[in-house]
Amino acid sequence: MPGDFPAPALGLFMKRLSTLAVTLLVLLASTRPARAEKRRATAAPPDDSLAIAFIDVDSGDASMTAAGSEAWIDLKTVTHAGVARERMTKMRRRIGIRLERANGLASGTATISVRLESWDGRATFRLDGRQLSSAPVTIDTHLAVGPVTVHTLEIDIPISAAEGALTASMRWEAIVE
Amino acid sequence: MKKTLAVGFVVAMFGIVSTASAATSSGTLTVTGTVESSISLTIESAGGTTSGTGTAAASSDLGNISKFGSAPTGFTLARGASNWTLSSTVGVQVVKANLTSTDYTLTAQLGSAPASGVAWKLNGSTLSDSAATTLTSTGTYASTGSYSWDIVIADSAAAAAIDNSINFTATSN
Repeated sequence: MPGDFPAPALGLFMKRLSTLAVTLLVLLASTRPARAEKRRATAAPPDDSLAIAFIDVDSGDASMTAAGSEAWIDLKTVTHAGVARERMTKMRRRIGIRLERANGLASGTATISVRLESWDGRATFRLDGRQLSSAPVTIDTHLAVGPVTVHTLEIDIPISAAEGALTASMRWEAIVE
Repeated sequence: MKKTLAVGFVVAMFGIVSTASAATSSGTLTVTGTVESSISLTIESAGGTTSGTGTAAASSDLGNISKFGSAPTGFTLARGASNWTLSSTVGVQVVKANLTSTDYTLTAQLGSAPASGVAWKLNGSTLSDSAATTLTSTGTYASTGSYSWDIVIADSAAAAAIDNSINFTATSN
């Protein structure tokens, strides 16, 4: 009977009860992942990891080589052939990308961002009208997994740029929250 | 009791947050190429009724010309004792791209042998169809150079077409 305990003893009892409850909750929380790991070990869930795949959408233009998440565009020899007064040599290439899940399911969306990983400064690059730099530029915030989407890469080489080899590398990232 | 529930809620939330994370995948697109230097020449102006100015293939029509007639559009006519001269200018511009050269050499050469008794001159030099004549060896890029153009016709020349072409060649220095 609570009434049989003196007040200080009752307080001490309640305090120990609270500590015990907290300890039990912490133990419960820490053991749940272990249980989940056991479940995974017995029946692994399908792998829903995401991958970016580049697609050559301009079949008539042999300048692009796509191999999964890696692609190369070879502009070959670039000569200023536009109107003499134009200050830039402008080129345009279409690039297809597809978000693929390892489990093959076409579900969900992802945010796509692109940044210049390295470049020699000879040219400026715009993707879908947005100029690229070393900072990530968001291209799409809800790109669907599954279908191919086509993006336009514009490459401008000023006539003041020195002749020589041109190289740039762009990092594309897909983030699923 | 309220305090215990509150602590338990915080622990549960921690468990949820620790299992939620963003999945990221990436790809790399590499662009390569070779930028090649180039120069471009355009005829910006010329006497006569011209067409194609601003391009590398302009033409100029002088119409019917005679010593005692009127000068064609854009020309002046000077009558000498035994010949007459039509005078005008030709504007030539050379631009460069991806080139470190600071100037260029411009030459001119007739496309075919001139009619007998007719001399074509640029900058005072008589042109031929067999060798190029240097107009300048220090041409300034992106600036239109103006060159005097004279057609000297002897009184003894036959009345006939004097058609010809002047081929300009710019070479970066």
